[in-house]
Amino acid sequence: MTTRRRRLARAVRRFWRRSTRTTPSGAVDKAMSRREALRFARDAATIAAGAAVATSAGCSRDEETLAKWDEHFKGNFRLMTDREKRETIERLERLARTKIGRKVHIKSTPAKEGVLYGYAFNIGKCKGYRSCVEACKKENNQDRRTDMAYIRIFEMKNGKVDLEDSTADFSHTVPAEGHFYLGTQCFQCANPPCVDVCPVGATWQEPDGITVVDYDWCIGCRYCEAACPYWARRFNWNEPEIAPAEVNANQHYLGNRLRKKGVMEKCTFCIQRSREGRNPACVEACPTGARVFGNLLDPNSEIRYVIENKKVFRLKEDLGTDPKFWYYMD
Amino acid sequence: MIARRWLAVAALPAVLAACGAADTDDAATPSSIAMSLETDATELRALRGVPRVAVEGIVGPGGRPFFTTARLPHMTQGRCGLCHVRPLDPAPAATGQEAIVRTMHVDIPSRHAPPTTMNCRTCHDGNDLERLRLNDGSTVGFDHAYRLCVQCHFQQGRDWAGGAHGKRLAGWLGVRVVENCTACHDPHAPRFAPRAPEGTPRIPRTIRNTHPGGRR
Repeated sequence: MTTRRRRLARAVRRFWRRSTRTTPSGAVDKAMSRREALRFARDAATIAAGAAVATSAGCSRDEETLAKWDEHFKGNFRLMTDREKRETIERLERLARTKIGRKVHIKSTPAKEGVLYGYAFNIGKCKGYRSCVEACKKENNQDRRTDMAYIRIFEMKNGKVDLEDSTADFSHTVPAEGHFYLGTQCFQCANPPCVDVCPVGATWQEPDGITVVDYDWCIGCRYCEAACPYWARRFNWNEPEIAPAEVNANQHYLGNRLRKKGVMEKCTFCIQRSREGRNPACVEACPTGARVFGNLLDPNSEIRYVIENKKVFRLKEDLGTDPKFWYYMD
Repeated sequence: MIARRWLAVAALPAVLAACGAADTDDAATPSSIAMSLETDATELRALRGVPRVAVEGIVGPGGRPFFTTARLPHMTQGRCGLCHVRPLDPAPAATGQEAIVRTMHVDIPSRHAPPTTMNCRTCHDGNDLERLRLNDGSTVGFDHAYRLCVQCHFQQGRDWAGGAHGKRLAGWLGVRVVENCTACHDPHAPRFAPRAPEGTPRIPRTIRNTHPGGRR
């Protein structure tokens, strides 16, 4: 008990010292006082309740509460120090383990130097099998209840590209006579309107061209969903439901880690895979080879070959969003 | 006593190495991938153990060599010589080879081209049925089937070498291994078969399903 009291006294002293820190100009720095106060309250509560002991299956109830508390008051991923990133990832991994009873691995792999991701889609090759859609759902831990999907395969009448006059929920045998198939997903625009409209800076473009969302900073206002001319963003109306056995344990902080209710999410070109040199799940799943992925800055890459040698076009190019997603045909 | 202590010290690196190996074996942590973009020798884990052959006579973008998946390990039939002791008839139509094929090789479809354009000997070497015959009379093994295909399908061959046709395995970085033509296309019926699409997408909001019979 005495030890606990001593620790509490030390925490109070530390809090007092920090909250009355003076800046070089002589002003008392109050900028962090709210967050500091919350942390202090948390520390005091912990010490008063006695330190919780971690169990092998994730964390105990007290620990879970603390981890959730810390998660609630953490900063934006872009402003975190390496240590803060490590700590939040460690917490998220523990929370995920408590939730699904399985170990997950969350990475924060940064963008690679000299890489800008590009994607090409062969509208002559796609047969509308939708293997990509299913592979994407499995890879990215999307909500199974609402059957959320980033990819949409439009069945279009030959002769024109008309999104309004096409369907994406066809269920007949494919390919249908007189039709072609055009898939949409996030095009990772070089000039993304969704990023511009975010009022809290919860979404941004990474140096390798992938637009990502910090799920813990997103306030769920859905401005980005409205701003996206390609309808590429998705909103979690409910807590995403996935059977624990189906959860993909290979996760990225900015990618397919488990989301929560009330936040936006989107295709990240499978950031957890692409930053390791692997192809996105949709590319890997495509049975007809209609999908090409690669580094736009490598003159010998496959994506550069497609852009330089095939007839290519982009969707709604006149909007000036500059998508890094090209359609081509044989 | 001292010897035992030294033994423990000597065993330490081995233990650490074992821990490291266990770490890299975990599919969720592919930390062993070399990230240097310059090297073509980078090999993704997913490519390990994939049977492959170096592509002959065709180079990728920038004149770089690449690999294609081997065909032989996937062949369900083979050992043709067990039955085909004599060379194939050079004029199949005259001797009704088509009918013989339809009885003996009933499981092999023939939808590549009409029999007047192509028959078995167009691709298979009549003297050695375990090899393929190119137009110039030379023969190649099944692993190099792409060399046969690109004789007619030269545009597809060019795109295959460049990356616009076909499918690259594993990833965009490092060693380039592309599926062989015959990995995706059945050479006897190259067109992809129609089938039911996967899943049942729920499209929450379109003019069509919010206003049935409305616009358009």
